[in-house]
Amino acid sequence: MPDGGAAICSRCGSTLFRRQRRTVEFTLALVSAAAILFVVANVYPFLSFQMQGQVTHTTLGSGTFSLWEQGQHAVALLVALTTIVAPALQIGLLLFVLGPIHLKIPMPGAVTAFRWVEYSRPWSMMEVFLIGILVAVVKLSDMANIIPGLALGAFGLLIPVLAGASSFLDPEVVWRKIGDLK
Amino acid sequence: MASEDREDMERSEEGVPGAIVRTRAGPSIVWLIPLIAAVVGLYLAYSTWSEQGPKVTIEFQTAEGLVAGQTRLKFKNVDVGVVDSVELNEDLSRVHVQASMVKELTHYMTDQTQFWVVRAKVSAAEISGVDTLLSGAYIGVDPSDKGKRTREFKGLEEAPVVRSDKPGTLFDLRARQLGSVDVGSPVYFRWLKVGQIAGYSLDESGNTVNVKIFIESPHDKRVRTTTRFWNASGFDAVLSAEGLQIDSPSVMSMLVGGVAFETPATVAVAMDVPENMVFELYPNKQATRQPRYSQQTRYLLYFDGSVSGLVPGSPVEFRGIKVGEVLSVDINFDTQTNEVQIPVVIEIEPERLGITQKKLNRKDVPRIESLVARGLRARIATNNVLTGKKAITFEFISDAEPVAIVFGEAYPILPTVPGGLDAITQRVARILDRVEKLPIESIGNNLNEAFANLSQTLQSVDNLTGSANTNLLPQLTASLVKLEETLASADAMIAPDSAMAMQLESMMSDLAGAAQSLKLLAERLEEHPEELLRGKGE
Amino acid sequence: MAAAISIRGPHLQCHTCHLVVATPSGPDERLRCPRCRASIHWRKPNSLSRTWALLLAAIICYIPANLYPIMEVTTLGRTQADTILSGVIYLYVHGTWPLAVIVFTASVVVPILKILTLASLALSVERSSQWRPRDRARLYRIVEAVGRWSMVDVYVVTILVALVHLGSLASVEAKVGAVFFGTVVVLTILAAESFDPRLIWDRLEGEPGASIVQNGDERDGE
Repeated sequence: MPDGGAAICSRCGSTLFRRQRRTVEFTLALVSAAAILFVVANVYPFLSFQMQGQVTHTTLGSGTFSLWEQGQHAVALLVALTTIVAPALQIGLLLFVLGPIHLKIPMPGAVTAFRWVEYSRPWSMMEVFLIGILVAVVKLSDMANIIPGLALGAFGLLIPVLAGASSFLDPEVVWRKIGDLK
Repeated sequence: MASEDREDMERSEEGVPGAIVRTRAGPSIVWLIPLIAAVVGLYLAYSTWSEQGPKVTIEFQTAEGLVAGQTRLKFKNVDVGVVDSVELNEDLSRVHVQASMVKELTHYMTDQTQFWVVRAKVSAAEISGVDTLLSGAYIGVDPSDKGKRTREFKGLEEAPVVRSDKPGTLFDLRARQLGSVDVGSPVYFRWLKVGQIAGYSLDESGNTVNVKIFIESPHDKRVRTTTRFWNASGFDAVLSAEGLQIDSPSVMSMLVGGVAFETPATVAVAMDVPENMVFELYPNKQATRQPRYSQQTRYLLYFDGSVSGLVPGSPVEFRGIKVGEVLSVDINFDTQTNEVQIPVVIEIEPERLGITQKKLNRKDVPRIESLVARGLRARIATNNVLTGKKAITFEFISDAEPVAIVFGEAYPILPTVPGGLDAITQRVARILDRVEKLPIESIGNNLNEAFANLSQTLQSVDNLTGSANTNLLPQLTASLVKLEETLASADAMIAPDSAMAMQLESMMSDLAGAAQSLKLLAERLEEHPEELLRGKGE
Repeated sequence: MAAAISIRGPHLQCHTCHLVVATPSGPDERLRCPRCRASIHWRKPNSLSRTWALLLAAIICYIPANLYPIMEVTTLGRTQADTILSGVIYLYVHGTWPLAVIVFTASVVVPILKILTLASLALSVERSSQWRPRDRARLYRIVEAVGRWSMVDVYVVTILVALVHLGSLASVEAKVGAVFFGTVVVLTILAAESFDPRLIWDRLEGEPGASIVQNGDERDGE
């Protein structure tokens, strides 16, 4: 079955089986979108807290930074790992692996890279972070004015996009392609 | 999986109709997602970049209350920027604050723009910025689009008095003393605060203090060329024939100090204030009623007599009008000649004497010279009988000896004459001298001789007429006898030991005695003038 | 620990890339997957002992995680320390009870369940229990998936710390309870990862080709 090919019933025309050439392509597309969203989510203000005329803007990294400043290095590292490092690794490495595959260019280190994608998967907890944000906002909403920022929207989009990318990702195909291109 | 696929395919090829393989070429539609994301991302990046305002660096003395990433910059209480970072400069003497401003202020970052830190400030003059206790300090901005563009600024530690959003005018005042006014002290017009002191500095000459005041619009239009400014820190009490009048500002102003102004109705025409006009700052409101002139010249006077009651500040008058004042009274004792001299330095405003000229310098002194030549002299006079304070008066003396102005050391020396009671005693002394010099004795002697001659003549006449003893002779003889009697009584009268002579003599000596007492009295009065009232007490 | 019995079959699957490779014969060295070059093991090495160790550590940390406050809120000089439970109560009292339920589930129920489940799974393997292997496997997968959600409270604290930054007006500080709690989450994740679910089947009797293998030794024990 060639890539992108679909086995159609010769009688009725319904799809029997579809081999996703597209697995690489789809995943790559979504991961690219995720990459852009990730950058936006981290660069732009995320939530603004307004109380008594004082305004504080935060980005995704602000929390980690503040925790570190308070001396809670362990927690800061944990939060950084799970909300920034692991997702960044996921996105970055996937781009690194899938891009060359899509362009049919052999990339050294693809194997290691893709392996690390697997390793970092259980540590990427952004969806949990989103719920945490929600709870925190609710806690604060009755004492102050919370203004959502651009990054929040980007973050909210990032999560389903990443989820979609994970679902489209067929590791078998990827491994095979890596092997093919070597 | 791949192998399984092929198996299916092969099986299908055997007996089952083969499935059609259909491929779709070209990129799939899913790329739309990243494409949209990319477009949105780029748009965001562009809009953020294009909304970037100017980044500025402001230098302050201290960063107290300034937090990187948090402290805002405000203009008219609107956020116009945020502090990015707070750092020390290289030699650790100053703090450099980097801030990002909003884009709207791009053209307003000029060298006329001012930055200052607003912190809570509690002082006698004001309580301000208390909201910063809760919200943290912020940096106030006074943007201006006039001036050169720049990105580096020197921050002020206090809010500037003159701001672009508060229109008004700065005026220059000059005072002898600063008094209790301070930067921020209010400026009053009819006891309404219309401005404040912007700053002060000591003049280069060290004689005056230059004070800069700021008066808000529209009140700045009230200042004309004839406006008078005075120090309104105390209260003015005037004791006059009408009674005691007190003019006071608010207690606040008395504590804090302040300057008040008004434009009195004057002879001079009130005009718009030209640039660079400097106003006099009078010490109180009373002082403003007196005209004040800008030129002063100093002279030196020497006095011989007592100058008690003459102190620095004593007035110098001409015809009862104050033309200047005494600056200093000293004493010079010449050890060689054992003479005492009292040099007095006075300062006159020649304009008051009617000498109005642009600039008074050595060339103009001839004017004084001509007055002196006409008899202008200085003398000490009693200014106030109650207090015994003296003043120096200038007078034209009619028969004054001609004296030229001596250009002595620092100041020209004007001639003086003894003054007041001194003059009376001197006059009396002169009369007495004259009277003394009258040749009364010789007159008496001459008169005696004349009578003796007359007596002899009459005897000769008698001898002549003895023989011719007729009617005529007895009448003649009777007349002659009468004449003789008259002459004899006259002789008795004017004989040195006669009663009349004695009376005259005693009258003369009385007069002399009286003059002497008067002289003593005058001298005593000079030294103890209060005895006029009190009598000779101990 | 009892001797771990594991089964060696003809094939081996890589944990990482799920490639099925032929079992190498002979002594087991550090095998690497041909495709992804991850280390391959027949079974996760010392799975049970590691799981137990990690679980024990997690239990130890769980007590202080709930006793100590995870954050301290300072408003105008007044401080208030919050533990996980008091945070839940706060949410409940302030009307948003669905969130209270969510946080309670995530922060209290989930870790306990996870620990208990893993413990019972490990125990079941130790005891060579026959109880429903497939369900046990499913349980394992659920536990593995759900574990991460206990991080919610840590993230709540993070956000609060980041947002409420107004000096003496209002500020939040993360406290030691958060450290313990984070540790609990990490430990349970690691514990789940170190547990090899295939051990469930190893202990089932009647499996073809079963052979006894010493604990930790992955070679054909005859």
